[in-house]
This record gives sequence, structure tokens and C-alpha cells, in this order.
Amino acid sequence: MTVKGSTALVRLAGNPSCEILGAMVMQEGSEKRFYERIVGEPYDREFGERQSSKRRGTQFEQNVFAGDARLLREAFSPFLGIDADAIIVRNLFDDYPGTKDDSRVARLRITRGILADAVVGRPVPHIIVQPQLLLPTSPGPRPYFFIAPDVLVRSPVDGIYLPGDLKSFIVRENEVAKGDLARVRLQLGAQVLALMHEYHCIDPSITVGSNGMLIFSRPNGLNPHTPRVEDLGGAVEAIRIGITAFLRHRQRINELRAGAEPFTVAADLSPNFQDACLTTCVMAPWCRQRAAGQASDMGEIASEVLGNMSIQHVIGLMTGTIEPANDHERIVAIQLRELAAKHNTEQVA
Amino acid sequence: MSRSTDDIDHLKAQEADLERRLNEVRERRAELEKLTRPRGEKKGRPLRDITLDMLQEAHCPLNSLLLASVIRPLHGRSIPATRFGTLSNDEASSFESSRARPVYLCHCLTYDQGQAVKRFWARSDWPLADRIMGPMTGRILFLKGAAWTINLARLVSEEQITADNRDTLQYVAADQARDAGFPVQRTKFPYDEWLAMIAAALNKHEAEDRALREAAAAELEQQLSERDQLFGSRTGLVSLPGSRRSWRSTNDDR
Repeated sequence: MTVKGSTALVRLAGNPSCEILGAMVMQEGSEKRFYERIVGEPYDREFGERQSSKRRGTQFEQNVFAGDARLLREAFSPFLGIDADAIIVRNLFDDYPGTKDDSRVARLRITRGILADAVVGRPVPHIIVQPQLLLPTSPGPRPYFFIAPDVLVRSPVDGIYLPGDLKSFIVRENEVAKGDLARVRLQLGAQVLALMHEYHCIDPSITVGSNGMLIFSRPNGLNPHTPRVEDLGGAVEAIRIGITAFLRHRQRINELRAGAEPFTVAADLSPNFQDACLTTCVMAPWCRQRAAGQASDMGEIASEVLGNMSIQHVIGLMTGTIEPANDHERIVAIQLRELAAKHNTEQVA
Repeated sequence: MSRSTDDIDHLKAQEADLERRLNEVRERRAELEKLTRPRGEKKGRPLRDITLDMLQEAHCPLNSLLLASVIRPLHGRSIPATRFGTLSNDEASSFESSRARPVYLCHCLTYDQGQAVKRFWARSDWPLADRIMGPMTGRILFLKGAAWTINLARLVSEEQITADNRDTLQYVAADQARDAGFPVQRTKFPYDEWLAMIAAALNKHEAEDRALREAAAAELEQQLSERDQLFGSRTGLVSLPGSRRSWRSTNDDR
């Protein structure tokens, strides 16, 4: 996983309390490099997206954008209410290809131009392929996140563009697993927020709805399914919380580091180890070590229920060797004893 | 005992002699192959010249992705994605230098602002209207590029021209036909059928697109310098967060 662009925001939204994540987002260079500089040895575990998934994703995009985005035009034709042949597409990768910052800035300028033209009623494309947006996070180091939706599609109702993301997951009947959907919705939430910002700069009175589109791949042939319009109110709010958390972490890290690189103050930051960290973050083993012997070592639900108790303390409460210090500990002790009794009974049976 | 030792020595000497002769034969073969291989000559040809020739043959602007995918089977050269970016910068620098060239590689321009569409390449000796991109021009240029590729594959299959890898070129042509939405069957390459379908598809939008491009060209010729007519109008700076005091965070903006 990366800690750049919308992925960084999705991760911050998923774990807003983790200051280590905040430092990773601030730090130049890769996530693995961040690990190596803190731990002092190379990261030797599995890392990143599977090559097969990457290839599938790339192939899906190539298929969909080929022939002046023929498949995309066909997929969006019912939504736009226009014949696929009459749909106008502009691929900003044709204008300015590349993934470096100067290419992104050039595409951002074109995207802003198209949005402004749309607002004043000039002719604009129905579909913008590979547009570029950004989310500012006030002046300072890393003052913005580049956000790149796969497409922007102009709503036939109010003329406002909606962000859309292509997903090459294998889905049947256009239904996707809950876990996968939560992540892509957060990604779309970041895109909606960035689009809101761009429209707000053009005209603050423009209302941008919290809607986005997901275009999944059909099981055979990597063709697009019918686009799904998603209500993203919750995801947008989660991304806002993630950004607020990042601003808070950034302020604390800046105070601690006094001009040095963010990774230098990692030991002074508070991690928030969660089960999900093990599959998404290179720092998970390091953070878990720091939580060793604490309830949080058993995952976020244990951490939520038991608070800052040590595992020894919890065992003491359960076996009765430690007296509960307050009502919370008393309830925990009763519940743990009930669970232990049930467990023992089941074992005997 | 001494007899068998003599035999071994004799065999070793024979083996060494054969190895020496085999090496001589290999070296000689390599030298002859170098002399007779036409690819060696082609590989040294600059990408600029190849691109100019291809554009001349196609009579229309071509997308750099298509150029790269055709150059590989036709000339046996793999072009990295970044190579066209370098070529673009070199060409603009060359135009600004004192040594004029008879023809430059240049980009298509957007019909409304005259900005470069970097993936679409053209020649400076073409009329400006042929290098303008209107709203539908992308589709028309895709179809024209597809027709050019399919025709190339047809000529190679008829042995009118040679290609480094004719099989791959056939599949590149078939990919173009599939991208255009035409039925494609494995190992079947109905070039004439595909070309007829492309001609029909082009008829739908070409006249309207041509009129728009000519009108835009007349305007842009008045507005843009000679340099900008080739490499696109220079755009203003983009204000990024942090570059002005007035920039606030997303959360402040809401």
C-alpha cells in the first residue's frame, strides 16, 4: 500500500488516531523506506498489491479507455441519456501523459478549465478520463493531496460532474464484497471532497452532492458493468475526519521534530495498533511490539473494551488474584469469569 | 597401460582441435550475420525519422501509444513510454535553436485554447487545420490510426512491404479493430472488411469535425506565434496550496 494521494486519506480515515501513520504520510519516500529508517533493517515481508491484481487493473483500464473510451461510452450511455456514439470524451492523459507532479499539475489546470467552462455553459465533454483534482490541507509541509479519479461524468440532471472509479474486482451481478466496497467508497469519498473543493473555488454557491460512481468489471472479458451510483455521505465524513486527524498529527510531529525528518520522532509518537494494520501497514509488527502485553495487542475490540489494562491485569481480574479498582473493572471481571466458566464447561463436554 | 594413455592424449588433442574449429565456424557465422542482417541498419535509425515517415504514410496525426505498438513489430524496436516525452522536448529546443530544420515533429492543438495534446503527433509541414483537436477529433484520429495500422498489416501479409515481426503486427491490427468495436476472431484477419467498417464510421462525424477544425485554425493562426502553433500555447502558472497565504485547508473551506 502507498501513503500518497487518496490512499493516504483512505488509510487516515480508517485509523485516525495513529500518529505513526501521520508521520508516514508526511515523510518523503516509500513506506518501506520509512520502516527501514526506523527499524534499521530491510523490510523482508510481503508488501504491496499482487502483480496479478495490478495487471488486471491496468488491462481493465486499457480496455475501457481504448477506441476513444468506446466501452465506457457504451456503459454510461443509459445514465447520460445519449447515444454512445454522440458522447464526447476527453482523455487528459492524451493532453499530458505521465505521473510526475508537473504532469499532474498540467492535468489539474485542464480539469479546472473544464469545470469552469461547464459552470458558465460552454461546451464541455460528457466524460473526462484521468482528470486531476487536489485537496488542500493548509500551508505547511505537504500542504495538499493529489486526488485522481479515473473519470468525471457530467450529470444530465444538474450538469455537475460526478467522480467515478474503475474497479477490476471480479464481481457477479454488479455486487461486491462488503470489505472491498468500504475501501472503494472511502476512495470515492476523497474524490467527492476534492471535487467539492474545486467547485467551491469556482462558485461557493454550487452544491456538489455526495455521490460518486463505481464501475466494476464483468467476470469475463474485463468489460465494464453498468455504473453504480453510490451515496457517499458517510465516506466523505470519514475522509474529513481523516484529514482533521492528519492536521492534528502534523502539528504535533512538527513541534517534536523541529525541522528534522518526520521518521526521527517516531518513537515519541502514539501508534494505534488495529487488527487491520497487519494487512495494510508495514509498521504493524513494530507498533504491535510497542503494544505487547497490553490489551490493544489483542486487537481493536479488546482495546475498546479493556482500555489501557495490561494482559496480566486482565488475567488477574479473571482469576480473582486482583481486586477490581472501579466499576468498569468489576464488570470486566464478571464477564471474563462467565466466559471462562462457559469455556471450561464446553471443554469438558 | 601406455597404449591407453596414448589413446587418451590423442583423443584430447582431437577434441581441442574440434573445439578450435567450432569456434572459428561460430565467429565466421556471426560476422556474416552482422553483414547480412537488415535489422542492424534499421535499429540505428533515429526515432524522429521513423516517426516523421510514419506520419507521412498515415497522412494524419498519430497517437504515441499506437506509434510505439507499431514500431515494435515493424522495425523491431521497443520504445519506452518516456522516449516520446524526450523527443517532444528535443524538437521544441531544436525549433528554438538557430539551426532550422525543413520539417519538425509537433503536437496537435486543442481547438479552443491551442494547447498541446502531447500524445498526438503531427508534422509541421501540414496545414494547422489538420493538427487541431475538436471534441470529436480524438475518435476520428483513433479510427484513422486504426485504418493505417490495419492497412500496414494487410500490405505486410501481401508481402508488399516487410516487417520485423509480421505476426505481431497482425495482432496489433486486430487489437485496433477490436477497440473500434468490430468483431474479431482468433487467427482471422479480414483487413478489407475492417477497413470498410472504419470508412463508414468515419463518415458519421468527419464533415462536422473538419468544419470546426478549420474555423479554429483560422482563429488560432491569428492568436498564436509560429512556435506555439507547433508546440502549443504556453499556459499560465497554477496556484497550488501553500503558494499563497490565502490558501486554507479543505476543512476550513467547508
